[in-house]
Formats: sequence, C-alpha cells, structure tokens
Amino acid sequence: MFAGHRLGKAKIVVWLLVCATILLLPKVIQNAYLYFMLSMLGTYIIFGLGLNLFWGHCGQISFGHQAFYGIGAYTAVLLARNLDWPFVLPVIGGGLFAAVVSVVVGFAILRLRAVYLALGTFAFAMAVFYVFEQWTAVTNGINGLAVPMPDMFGHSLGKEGLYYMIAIFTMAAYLGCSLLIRSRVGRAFRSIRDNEVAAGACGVNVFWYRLMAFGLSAFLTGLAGGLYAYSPGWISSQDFGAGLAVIALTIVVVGGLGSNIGQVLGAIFVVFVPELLYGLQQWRVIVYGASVGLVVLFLPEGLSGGLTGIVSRMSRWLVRRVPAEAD
Amino acid sequence: MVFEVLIGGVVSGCLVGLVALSLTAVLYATNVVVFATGEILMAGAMGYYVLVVLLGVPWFVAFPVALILPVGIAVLIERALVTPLLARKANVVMCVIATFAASTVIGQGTLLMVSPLGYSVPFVGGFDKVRIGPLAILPQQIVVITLAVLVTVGFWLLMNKTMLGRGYRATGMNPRMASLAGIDTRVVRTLAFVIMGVAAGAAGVLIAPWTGAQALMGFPYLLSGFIACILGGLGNPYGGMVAGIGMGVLSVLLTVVGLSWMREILMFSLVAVMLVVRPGGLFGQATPAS
Repeated sequence: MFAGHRLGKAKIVVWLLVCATILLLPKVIQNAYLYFMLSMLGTYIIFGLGLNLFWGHCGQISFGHQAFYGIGAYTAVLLARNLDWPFVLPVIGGGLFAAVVSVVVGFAILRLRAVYLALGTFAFAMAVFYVFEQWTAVTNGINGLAVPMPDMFGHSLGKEGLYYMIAIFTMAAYLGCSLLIRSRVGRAFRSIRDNEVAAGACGVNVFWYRLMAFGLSAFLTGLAGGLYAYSPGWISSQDFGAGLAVIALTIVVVGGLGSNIGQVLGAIFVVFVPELLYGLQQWRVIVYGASVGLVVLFLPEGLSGGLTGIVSRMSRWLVRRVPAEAD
Repeated sequence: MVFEVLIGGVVSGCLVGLVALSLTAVLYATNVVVFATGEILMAGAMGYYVLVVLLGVPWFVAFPVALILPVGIAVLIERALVTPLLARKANVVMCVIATFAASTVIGQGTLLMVSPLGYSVPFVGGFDKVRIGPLAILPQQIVVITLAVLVTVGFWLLMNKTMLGRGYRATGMNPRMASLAGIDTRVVRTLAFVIMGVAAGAAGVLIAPWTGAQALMGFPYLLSGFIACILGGLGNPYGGMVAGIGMGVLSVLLTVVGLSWMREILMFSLVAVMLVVRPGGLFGQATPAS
C-alpha cells in the first residue's frame, strides 16, 4: 500500500513536470520548425493512442488506420473551408466522421481476423487513398488543398495557439485512453485480445466490443488527422498513402503494443530520431523500417517494454540496497 | 485491334498472376504475407538490367541467372527474419511486420544507390510484331505468356508429382501433423521462399522492359498481387493466376471505356467485399477467415 501511495505521488510529479514543460517550451524556444515538429509529435501521439486502442489493447490488427487519419484531415479542412466553422469544431467533426465511416465499414470488415484483418484493412485504406487521389472535385487530389489558418471567434490562433490546442488534445486523449483501459470497457478489450472464445463465454459481447474498439480508435485517429491538417497548412492525397502506414506501424510497434506511454515514446522516436540524421532525409524511411525490424526481432515489447524492464531492474536493485542502509 | 488490346490485358494479368503466385506460395506454407515481394521483384529486374544491358548477355541466359539475386533475398528474409520469429513462437503478424520493415529498408536503400529515374531495359526481339493468324503480338508478350504458363505448370508438377510438393501441401494443411509424419517443415519453409523468389523474380525480369528497372517498381505490383491473391482465394495459387489475368483484362477494358481512373478504387473495394463475402476467393472453398 505504501509503495502504491509513493507511486501515485511520483506520477503526480511526472504529470506536473510534463505540464510545465509543455507550457514553458514556447517561451524558451522560438523556432517555427520546432513548433511544426512538436505539433506533429502531438498528432502522432494521438494517432498512436488510437491505433493502440484497437491493436494493442483489443488485439485486432489494422494496417489501414491511415485512411481514418486522411478522412479526419479532409473532413476538418472541408468544414473549415466551406462552412467556415471556428477552430476545434472541424477537428472534432473530422474525428466523428472517421468514427462513423469506421463503424459502417467495421460491420463488414470486422468479420475478418488476424492476418486477414490486416490485409482487409490495408485494402480498405488503399481504396480510400485512391478516392482521395481521384475525387479531385472535392479533395483536389495530388495538388492538394490549402488549410485556412486556425481561428477562434475572429482571433487567429497563430503557431503558439495551435501548439497549445494540440497539447490540450494530446493530454485529453492520453487521459481518456488511460481511464478507458482501466474501466470495464478496457477489461473487455483485453479479454478479447487474450482469448476471444473465453471472453465470449464470460458474457463479453465480442462483436460489439470489437466494433466499439474500431470506432473509438478511428475517432482518435480522425481527430489526429484533423489536427495534423493545420500544422503544414496544406494537405494532399500523397500524405495519406502507404508511407503513413509505415509511420503508424513504427509508432505502435517501436513504442510498444498495448502500452499508452509507449505511444508517446514511439511518436517521439518517429518525429525526432530522423532529425539526428539531418541532411540525410532519404534515410528517414530506412530508419523507420530498420528500427521496426530490429524491435520486432530483439525487443518484442517495444521501447516501453524495454524501459519497464530497466526501471524494474533498477527498483529491485534499490529495494535490495535500501534495507541494508537502514539497518 | 480488339485482339491486341485483349492480349495486352492478358500479358499484364500474367505478370500480376506471377506476383500472386509468389505471395500464395509463402502464405500457404507459413501463413505469412511477405510485403517484401515487391522488392524481390525489383531485384529480378535490376539483375536482368545488369546482365543484359551492362554485360551484354543474351536474354535467354540472363533470364535464369537474374533469378539468383531474388531467390537469395527471399531465402535471406526467411532465414534472418521469419524463421527466428517463428522459432520464438512469435505471432505470425510479427513476421508480417518484419517483412514490411524489410520491404522499406530494401526499397529505400536501393533508391539511395541507383538512379531515381530507373534504367531502361530492351524488349526481347525488339518492337517487330509477330503475326499469328489475325493476331499481331510482340515477342516479349509471347515470352511473358509462355513463362507464366511454364512457372504455373512447373509449380503444379512440383506440388502434385514430387514428395517435396506433397510435404509442402501437408505442411500447409497442418504443420504440426506434417512434422509428426516426418516432414521437415523447415525445408518446406525454405522451399516456399525459393518458389516465391523464382516467381517474383521472373515477374520482375518480365516487367522490366515496360516499366524500366526502378527501385520502387515493386509496390504497385505488390498491391495488384494482393488483390489477385485474395480474389483468387488465399492459398490457391492457380486461382491467383486466373484472377490476375481477369484483372488485367478488366483494367484494359476500363481504359478503353475511359474509366481508368476508377480502376484502383474498384479493385480494392472488390477485395474488401470479397474478403467479407467469400473469404475463400472466387474458386476456393468458403473457408472461415481465421
């Protein structure tokens, strides 16, 4: 019990530190490119959390969530451009529309399992990708659409305002996911992941919970897509192709399937590690691919699993040391 | 004119069918979908370019020799990624992800090393069309159709007339039972990847004159191969070949009608519908998709 209490305190301290960092970062660094990267980091964290809900917690594989990211992005941009909705509403609209699409598609596609589900979602995402590319009347295809500047009640948010909005969305998504996986719903997801038949026998409605996981993850992914659209200020169909599938896979697998903090690590990895190879932009995709391969081979639980291992080993070492010193 | 258009469709369909066959060859024996098939195809095309254009080797010698590199890469993927993961009782999905990773590393790595414009490769026998009755057909097209038939027939013979093929089929049906019956499933797994390397490499060699040898040439063929594979029935290599030819003819017809823009959307929607309605494919038994 004492340890649990201490853990709670440590967690609060970590959260406060994270909040302070997020609040103060713009005061310390005034760099347009860094703003862009931090915004991308936020959207990728939400993307990872969404995909992880479906894949990591509910155990259903998807290679096709980039479609929901794209649907969210296009919906948000079209709402902002054509209906002139103030900021936040287009983003939420994008998330909701992605969720609606996912539920409709899910009725059919969720009949598939395992590798077949991966192929089915991939096929769905490729179909959506070609719709983005070919339906030029709405999406303007490869040439893309300009995204209006985010504004609320007549005030332009600017880069700093957008950064804070994305930070709020990211923290809300993280908290929401953390609460969800501790709830009855989260337990149902995990029971389906661990043994679908047993979960069904225990009274979990497998079909509805899988559909719910698909819908919730699509909602978060669509939300991430809507937020993403504002960062570069320009979206085109090329943003939502197979390249994005590689990024999604890298976030979830390198970060650690089934771990929420892993998605944060995965997103940090995806956004910042290629920057270490500045000037070798072509290496970006190779780095993603190679790291996914290495993680699958040598670190099956991803960065978060590796970190947990180190932390638990350190704490065991501390526990062994502390009583000796107390004596 | 009509015949020439249809022949064009059949030829591109045969190429897609070869990719589908290579995907199913591995899928059947191991349940792994190899995303790196596109890059193995590209290796075949690159090898063929080096042999024919740079070294001036005649095409009928270059054909088999160019298959060494793709088969090597296929076996390397099996030995370095798939076998260690399966040995660790990892989920099959992890193997699929590993091949996805291998695909991006090989593809983008090649892109760094070669010209992004790719290299042009000559047609076998040039552009002089051969007349067979009312048909006017390129020699290269004859080669494609002949080789696709040869590979398919060879695959059928291997599967049905040899002990190795019998072991392969047994492993596909039930790996544990097969190993209990004395079949070395590791040999079968390697065999599956060798077949895959041959079929995908041959596809690359044959495609090269049309597309040129390019680093990322494999991806569209991987996607078409997936579609053919699913339409023809996962685990049914001949179905994949037939579905590939059907897709080739259909896409040519769509182009003639002026609807080529909807080709990909139609194909992928068809796949999603097919996976749900008939997971066993057009020709397969309605096997449960699990």
